[in-house]
Amino acid sequence: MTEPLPSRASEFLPPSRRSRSLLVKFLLILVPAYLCLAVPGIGYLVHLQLRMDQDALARRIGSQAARAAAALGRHDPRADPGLAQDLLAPLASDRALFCAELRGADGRLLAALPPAQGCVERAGVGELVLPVRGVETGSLLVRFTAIELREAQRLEAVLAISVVAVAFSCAVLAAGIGFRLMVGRPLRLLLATIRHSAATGDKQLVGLRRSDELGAVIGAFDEMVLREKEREAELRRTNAHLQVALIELKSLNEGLEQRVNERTSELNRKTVLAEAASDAKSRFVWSMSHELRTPLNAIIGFSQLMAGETFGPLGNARYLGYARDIDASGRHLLAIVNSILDIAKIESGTEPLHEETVNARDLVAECVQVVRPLCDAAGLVLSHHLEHLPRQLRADRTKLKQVLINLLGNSAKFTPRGGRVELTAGLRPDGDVEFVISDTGIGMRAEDIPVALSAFGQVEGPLTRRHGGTGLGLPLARMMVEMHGGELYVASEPNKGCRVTVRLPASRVIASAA
Amino acid sequence: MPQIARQIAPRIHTSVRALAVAALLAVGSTPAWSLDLSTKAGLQAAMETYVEQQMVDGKFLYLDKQNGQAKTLHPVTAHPMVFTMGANYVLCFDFRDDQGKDVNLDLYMARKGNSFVVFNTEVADHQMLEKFIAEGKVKTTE
Repeated sequence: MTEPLPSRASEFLPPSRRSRSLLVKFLLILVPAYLCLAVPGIGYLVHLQLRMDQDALARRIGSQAARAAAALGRHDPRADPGLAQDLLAPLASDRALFCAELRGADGRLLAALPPAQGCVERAGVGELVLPVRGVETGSLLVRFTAIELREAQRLEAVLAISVVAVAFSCAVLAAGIGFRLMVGRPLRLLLATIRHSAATGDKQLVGLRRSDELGAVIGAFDEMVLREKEREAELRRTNAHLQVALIELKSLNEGLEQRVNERTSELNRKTVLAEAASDAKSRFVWSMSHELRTPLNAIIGFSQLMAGETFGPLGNARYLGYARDIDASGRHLLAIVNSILDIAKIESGTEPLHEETVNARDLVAECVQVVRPLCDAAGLVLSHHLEHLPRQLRADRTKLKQVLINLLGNSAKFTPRGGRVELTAGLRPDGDVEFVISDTGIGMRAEDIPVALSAFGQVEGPLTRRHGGTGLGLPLARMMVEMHGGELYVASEPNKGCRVTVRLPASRVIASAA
Repeated sequence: MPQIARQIAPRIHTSVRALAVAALLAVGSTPAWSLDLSTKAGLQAAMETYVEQQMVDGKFLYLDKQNGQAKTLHPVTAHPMVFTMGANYVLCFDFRDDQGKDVNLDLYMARKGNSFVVFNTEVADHQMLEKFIAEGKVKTTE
């Protein structure tokens, strides 16, 4: 429902502010300006008119008196008193001249107006005494009044005030009407349009064509509204495109979601299969390793008996050598089988972590002692350093020892004669315990490190082939460290050695009693 | 509306007072050279009397100094305006010559007792009066 348009622009203002409307301000300027200009102007005109009236009256009085005196001078009043009286009579027609006296040289009254009365006890605002030069020199006294001037003054004052008042009223009325037409109406339309737009959101044009400043304002407003509408239309078009895109995106999303669900289902199924396969593999490997160890133990045992000639000499030295080879190969194969068995157990989750309190320094010393003969035989320098190593750790002693021995053994194995193997153990600033095994060995390329850390991923090369090995030591060590919640890092460069870091979390440290 | 009236009233009151003062200054002030009605009427009567006395058979005679001829003029009307020249006065009278051409007569007058006398006339020579007015020697009266 359209709100009715107020008849005045000021009605848009709150009642307390209507006294500050443009019309009131305009009139407050117009009225004093009008009065300042009109009142003195009219007053000056009235003054000029009064002066002209006074001049005209003076000329009239003077002229009539002079003519009467001239006429009287042409006759002898003594000879014909009636004629003298007649010559004075025209003066009575002028209401400004209310008495006249013709006296002779001796002062005797010869003629008077009013007749036989003259100017006795009658006073006016002024009088004229004119010489009458004729047969006998006398004088003519004429008294006059300015009452008609005062009447004219009053009339002109009333007229002037009336003119000023009427003109003032007309000016104020015209100014008010003009203001409303020129300013009020455009403002009213503009305000109504703005309010309508603000209230309903429906942007409308004022549509008022004018060539003045308000027309420019309204034109600018209409232009702004048009631009706003264009922007809204553009927004609607963009929104429609977005809606279409959203629907398409939703459709794609649904398709994608369906595909993801399908892939996820397939992946889950494959994962289940893979896990089942992995479990089967682990069980198979564990079973096979277990089955292999029994005959291997028999082979090693019997070969030791034969190499030791427990039940008598073998008779031929070559048989003795073969028996020793069988023993060595059997031990190597047993070590491989044990490693495979360990990996299988860890991967299958059946290998428990036997946590106990471990004396870290003793553990390091034991590991160094185990590896030292190997290093001595290989011509290597083995050293170890303890830097604030905690006294006690909570760990699986066997596995942690196996980790350190494996890593030290690897360093000894891949370090050429004359090289150096070093074990450093200590406490990091963040509380973690760190074991660092470094060597000056053959090292490996950065891209080979992930291979070396994977099971059976020993890096191929002449040296590795020369040194043999299953490649299970490093991955097995990593698995055991991870079982402790720790991490194992390898940093190496070819021919610059290898640096393996074993880091156990701070939670593994048992605080020593003070 | 009463609130509006209360706000506007002091301003209008001030404006009206200022206007009243201005009007009084414009209308009510009296110049120093103003003449009263009696003086003006006396001057007019003296001028008319002078013209009347100079007339011969209803014609005003004057000497045309350039041509050396006596010319006649016919009176038309007396000017109501009075000029002052110090203690003396200047009035004007319009005539027409025999050809119907307007001729102006300036009369220089002085007070003599209760009446006035003409002590100089200038015929058809208005420039002298205009010169005196321009020099401030002759002034208009109120």
